[in-house]
Amino acid sequence: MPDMPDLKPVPHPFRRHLSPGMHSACTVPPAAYAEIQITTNFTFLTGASHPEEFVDRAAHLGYRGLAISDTNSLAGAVRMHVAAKQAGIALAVGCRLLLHTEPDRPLMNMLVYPTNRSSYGGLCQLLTRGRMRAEKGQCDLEVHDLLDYHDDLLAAVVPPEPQNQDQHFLEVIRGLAQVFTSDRLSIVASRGYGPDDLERLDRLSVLSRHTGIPLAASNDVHYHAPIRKPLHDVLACIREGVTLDEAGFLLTPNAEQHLKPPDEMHRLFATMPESIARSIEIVERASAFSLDELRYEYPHESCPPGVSAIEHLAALTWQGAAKRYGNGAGVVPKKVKAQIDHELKLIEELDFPHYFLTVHDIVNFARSRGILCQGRGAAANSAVCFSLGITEVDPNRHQLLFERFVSKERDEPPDIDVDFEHERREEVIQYIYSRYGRHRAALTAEVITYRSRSAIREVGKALGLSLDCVDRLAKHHHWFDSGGIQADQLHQLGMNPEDPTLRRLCWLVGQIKGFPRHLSQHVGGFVLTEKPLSETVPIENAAMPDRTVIEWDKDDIEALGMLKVDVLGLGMLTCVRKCFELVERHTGERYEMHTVPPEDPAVYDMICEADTIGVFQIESRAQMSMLPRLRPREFYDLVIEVAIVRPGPIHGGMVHPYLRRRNGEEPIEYPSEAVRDVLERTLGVPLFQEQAMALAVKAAGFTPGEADELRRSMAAWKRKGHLIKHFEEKIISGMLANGYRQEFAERCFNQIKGFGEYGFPESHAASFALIVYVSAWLKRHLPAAFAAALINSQPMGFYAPAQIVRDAKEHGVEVRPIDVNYSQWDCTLESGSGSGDLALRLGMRLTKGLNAIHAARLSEAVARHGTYADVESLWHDSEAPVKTLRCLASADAFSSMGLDRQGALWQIRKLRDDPLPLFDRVTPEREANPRLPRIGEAHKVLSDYTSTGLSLKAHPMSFLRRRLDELRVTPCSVLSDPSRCPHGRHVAVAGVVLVRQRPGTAKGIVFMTIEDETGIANLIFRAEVFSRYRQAAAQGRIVLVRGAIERDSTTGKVVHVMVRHADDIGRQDGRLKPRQRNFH
Amino acid sequence: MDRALSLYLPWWSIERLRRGGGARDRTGKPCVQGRPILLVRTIASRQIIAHACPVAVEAGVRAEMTLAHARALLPYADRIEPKVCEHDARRDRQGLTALARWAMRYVPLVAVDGEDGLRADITGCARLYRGEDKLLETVMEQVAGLGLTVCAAIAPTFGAAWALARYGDARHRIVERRDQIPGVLDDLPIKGLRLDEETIEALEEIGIRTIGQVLDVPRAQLPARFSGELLLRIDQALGRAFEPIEPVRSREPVRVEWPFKGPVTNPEAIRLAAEQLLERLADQLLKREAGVRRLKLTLDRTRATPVRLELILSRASRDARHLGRLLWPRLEQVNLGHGVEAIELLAVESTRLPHRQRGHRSMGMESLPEESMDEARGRLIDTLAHRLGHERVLQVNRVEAHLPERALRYVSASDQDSHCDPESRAVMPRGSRNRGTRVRVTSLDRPTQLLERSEPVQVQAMTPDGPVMQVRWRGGLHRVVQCTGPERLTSSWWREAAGGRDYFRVQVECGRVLWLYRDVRQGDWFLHGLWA
Repeated sequence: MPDMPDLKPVPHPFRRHLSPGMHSACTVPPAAYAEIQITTNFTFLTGASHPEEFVDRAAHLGYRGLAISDTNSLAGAVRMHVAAKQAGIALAVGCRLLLHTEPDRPLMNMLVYPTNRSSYGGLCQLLTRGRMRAEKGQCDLEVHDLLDYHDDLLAAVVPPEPQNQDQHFLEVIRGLAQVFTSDRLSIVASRGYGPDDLERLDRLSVLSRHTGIPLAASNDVHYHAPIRKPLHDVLACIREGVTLDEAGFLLTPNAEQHLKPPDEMHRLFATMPESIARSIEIVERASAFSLDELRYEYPHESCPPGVSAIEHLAALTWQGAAKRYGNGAGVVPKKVKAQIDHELKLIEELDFPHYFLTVHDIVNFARSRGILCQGRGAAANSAVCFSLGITEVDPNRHQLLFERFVSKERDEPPDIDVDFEHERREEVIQYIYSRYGRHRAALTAEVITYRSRSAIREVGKALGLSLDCVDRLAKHHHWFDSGGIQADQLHQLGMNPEDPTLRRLCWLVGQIKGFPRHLSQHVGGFVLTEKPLSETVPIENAAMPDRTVIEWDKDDIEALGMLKVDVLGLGMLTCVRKCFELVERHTGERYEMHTVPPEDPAVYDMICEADTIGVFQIESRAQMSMLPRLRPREFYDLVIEVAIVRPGPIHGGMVHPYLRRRNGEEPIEYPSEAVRDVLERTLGVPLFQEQAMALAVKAAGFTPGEADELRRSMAAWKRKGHLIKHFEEKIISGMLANGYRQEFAERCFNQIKGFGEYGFPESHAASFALIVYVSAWLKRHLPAAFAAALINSQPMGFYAPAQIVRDAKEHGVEVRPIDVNYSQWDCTLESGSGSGDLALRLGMRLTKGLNAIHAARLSEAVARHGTYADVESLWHDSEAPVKTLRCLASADAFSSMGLDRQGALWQIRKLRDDPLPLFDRVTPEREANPRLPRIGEAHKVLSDYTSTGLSLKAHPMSFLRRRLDELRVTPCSVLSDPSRCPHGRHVAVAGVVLVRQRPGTAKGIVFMTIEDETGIANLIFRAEVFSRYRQAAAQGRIVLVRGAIERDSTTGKVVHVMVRHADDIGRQDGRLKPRQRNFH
Repeated sequence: MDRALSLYLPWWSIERLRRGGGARDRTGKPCVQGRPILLVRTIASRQIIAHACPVAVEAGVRAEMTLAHARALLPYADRIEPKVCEHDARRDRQGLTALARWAMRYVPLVAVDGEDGLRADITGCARLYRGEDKLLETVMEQVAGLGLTVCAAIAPTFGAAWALARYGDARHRIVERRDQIPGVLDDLPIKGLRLDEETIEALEEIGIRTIGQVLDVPRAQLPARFSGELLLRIDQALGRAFEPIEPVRSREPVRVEWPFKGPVTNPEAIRLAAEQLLERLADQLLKREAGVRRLKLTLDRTRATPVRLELILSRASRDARHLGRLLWPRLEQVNLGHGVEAIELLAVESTRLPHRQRGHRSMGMESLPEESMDEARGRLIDTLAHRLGHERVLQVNRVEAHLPERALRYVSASDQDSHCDPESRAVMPRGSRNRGTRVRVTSLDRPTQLLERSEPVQVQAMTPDGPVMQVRWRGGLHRVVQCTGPERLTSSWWREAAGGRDYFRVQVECGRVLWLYRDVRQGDWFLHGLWA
């Protein structure tokens, strides 16, 4: 224990009257202090500062140490731990427990701090127990629970209000004193500037003397500096659902709950200096335990007993390799053999065999159920993973080196994400739970933080702005506008930017952005352990039934060096599997991911034409416009294509240099041999995350450890903006020192910065590229099956069924309408009119409001009976509800009975789900068909769209064509004709809006795709045009735009219209609601 | 019933407000004319348009839109903000009922028809107006005179008149004979049949849009396909089914009168008569189980304008003695002129006031309290307010606020809404989330007397927030015996400039306990209160 300064600090009586400058000039002897009670913003809607802010402030004020004490939670502990380690300040990881004592008594409020690994494990288990008992986000604990886990825990009781310090409280305290023996219990004393602080302290000293429990000084800190008091008030209002004016005594009366300078704390506790010493002692004793002690152990069940993990892994690998490479003969080529030997050695050295075995186990399960899956990530592109079946990318064939991804020096945990079919991922998740048990497997959390929109909404309400005003602010601040609230925006909304309430709103929204709001579950990040997970981190119930989530997110897990397996869902895998199945059923040909014929020139021809609707990844606008320029001819080109259209390379200005070098317009040169090694395969331009890291090492002189730190901090770039400067200087000066040009250095740094937000490593790109190739191959050679599989896997991808169908038709596929006599729930294939051709029969799933089970009854009835000629017999046989038939009639699915939509609906209206038994099966006499009104073609098409989202009869724009011709609107298909629409010509085009996209990289530019009956047109809105025609541009369904044609000079193929004027012409007809999708 | 009149008020909800029927926006100010009006209803924090004024409808605003969407459609150019009010369906309906009563002066049997119309049975009325066209013209003119947009039609059935009034051709508003009905309705939309949404949707799905198209379908095929409502509505429109009318009836407010046989100038006589009237009024109110909130007394004077006195009560009452006591002082001051010929009492506003059992002394039981404290308090307030003025009788409500001067609020005592218990006004935190952080300040911590304006004092203290030694207040120097504090209170940052005060409870030698504070910013000291 440190010596207490014997000097009782007596502040200068007039110090407050002195100017601040003189104040700092006063030399006050350094006093020691440590805060034991800090509520961060991970006690949601209560604490008003980030953990990092507390650490920075405490370090700045010269604190001996500090403790984190969030309520019933350790969610913020890792962040605090990382920050404290960096700042070199002692941290006690603890938490506040609110315990039930007896019914109708206030909760017991106490702080606990573990002092070693086992007591930390006990605390985690205690919290897990409380959380599993309660609903998500809640914790339900009793004093008795504490008795099971109190070993080596330090405890500090926060005394209740004086009027509640009664006999009962005394008994509880005495009880606790008997449990927390060997000087582990304290009573917290604080001075909050209430009406009778000193009296309270006196009472507590009496209590302390009476019971022999020492007092510990604290300031019950809720924010790091008094400037956060307004935010603290606003959080309280959000929490309680009131406005500031209504909040009254829910707010604290003053702004004293911040970290105060140590000498100020000494002054406040001048009468009881021993309490300050006690606080320091608590932090010192508790900081003996650090989160760094958490050791991670992999589950061992994937390895049979008696065999070491590496032996087992080796056996499995060789077995797999024999199958993969041996072509049945079982002989693995020499080169592969050496590669596998090398990788296995590395895996053994780094002690990762259990990790590979665990992933293999999961993948094996998926395979056994016929679930398609594909690994990606740093470790996935290895011969071992290929042999184990974790990935389909053959590193041997594709020149991908394992060492590039996993290396000894970097000492980073292997990283394998496994994508599964999105519709069947749940099966995998349940398998993991059942195999490893709920106590050893849990999802990582995802910290949901405030974004501008939610912040405006909630802060606005707390400030007492009217609902409608808040709504307007939040709505108009939708995803097209990034950044904070702008003055001119407010002006546009008819609000006064000078209004003090709005200014306060802006100020507070700026502060609250990034605050955690609640924990949610990560999409698929699993943490698996050998020992119970609840000894490492508290686990709670997730909102979804049968899910459990830990309190830490993936950054926290990584910061502690724990490992996780990402079990993700990928729509395209579902699509590919369904496509394989359809093909097998109809043609008998059987394909698998790795048996699809490789490097087919026809596939690359199609890709170069940017004919890629529906193809994985490269179907987006930006990708499509890149394809004719990049002209991929081999697999590795696809890897680059996937990675190049990303914010990282775009921000870093790497795209054009690469294209120029590829087209031979610029010499390929390397600043040095070292850089050549790193960049040779991308023509001297860094495109992948791994390359940026390698550059930092080879060119800027980073140690592998520093590069690793750089990579980690990149993930939190936005949160820890101050780190950016540090690395910028380091990288640029390092490169200059090694003789690189300033310009090159800056470019490299910019790219690294870009990766911070959207890192895309080569290892991921390689795995994705294989799916790109497979899906492109399917589209090229089996278009009908591919379109059917795409529709059957909806929702996924960029395009709606209408576009998929249109694209299929353009590729010569015969598309047949939904029909009760022929369609099933899913789209199916039928033999087409030509020999060997396959036709696509649309499935009932496209029909709005239809229930899959009921629809299946219809197709079963047809399967039993054969096609039906009238509605009633089908209805009787299938026992499907009338609503099902009515939905299908709305979709015009009775044509094979000779009934149009109108006639079918008329027939079906007569049917009742609960017919009177007397009339059952009595076929009523045929009634004459009534004279129903005639319905126009345009109306029929609109009804098709309403019911199925597409029409095979005509395109809705075709009915507007006459009017559009009068307005001299160019059909979309004409745009691609260079003679009629040369570069720079002013045109008008109109169409249904399919997609809006606003990439974060494009300075507010919005891309839009519209469609008319002749084809598709691509539009570009500059930010100012977009905001001028916001109504049409952001919300219009059918738009008419005018602007200049822009044509790519090199290929002449990519055409878009640079919009200058936009009009919403679809407002008149509310019935047309084509599915449109907005991406950002 | 042969002749039916249907009145359609397309903008009723909007125009009711425009006519000044109590339109209030959220801040309590009356709506201003000339601005677009949007009526919204709030469903779980979503505000949805219920009705929009013609200007807004012109701009594309429709019912069921969200308010934000509607705003986006209104032109911003002239920076005219639309007036947004909550839609009050209850008051719409009340207003419509009142309008129906008003219309009884033209035709005897009038009923409210839906949310935006009236219907009347005018069989036999036409003669009074010399023809139905004249009747129609008169009614429409009169309704339009009230500032309402109106469409009307006369037909042999309510159904046909309803459809015509809403969807018919403006030039052809009267149908003479039943057999003309199908021809007239032929081209009108099926909505004109007064069908529910589901039936309309079902018909439109099949492509049936006009009434004629429905009538074309063989009648025998309809019952199996559509709800019975469709046939009923067709029959009602065509006159094959009878449709009753439930006309409104008038209900007069309680009113009693005392005519004198000649001009009376003797105040005593007038008072006696008024006493009698009050007794009768009380009697009638008792029968209706009502109590009066606003009472009007009218004195008809000879050759002079009548004198009107109005009483506003804080609580409903039918106690003749209480009312009399309030009335007499005012009656005494009235200038009777050449004499009063009649007195009238009118209960302008009354509310329900149930009977109450009273104890009976003669039965030897302990009597129930004759009146509750509340009643007595109300009576006191009424008496004071009528002598001093309503704005001068105030009561103090407690408000949750940290700064002491904000913790009190004065409100008019006559305003009944302010009588509720101050405790119940406090916002209670939601149970599960309450961490018990609500600050508790006991009444012992606050002085018994709070000065309206704090008085500057000179203070001698060891340290800025340390104990106070001496206070100089109003010229006297007081040595401090005991000092508690500081209690630090900061101002509400969202309302005023940041600032804070350190409060001390200080006992001086003479025994007085003072509540002092130091302005944390300026460092000046003030006295803010005293303990008795």
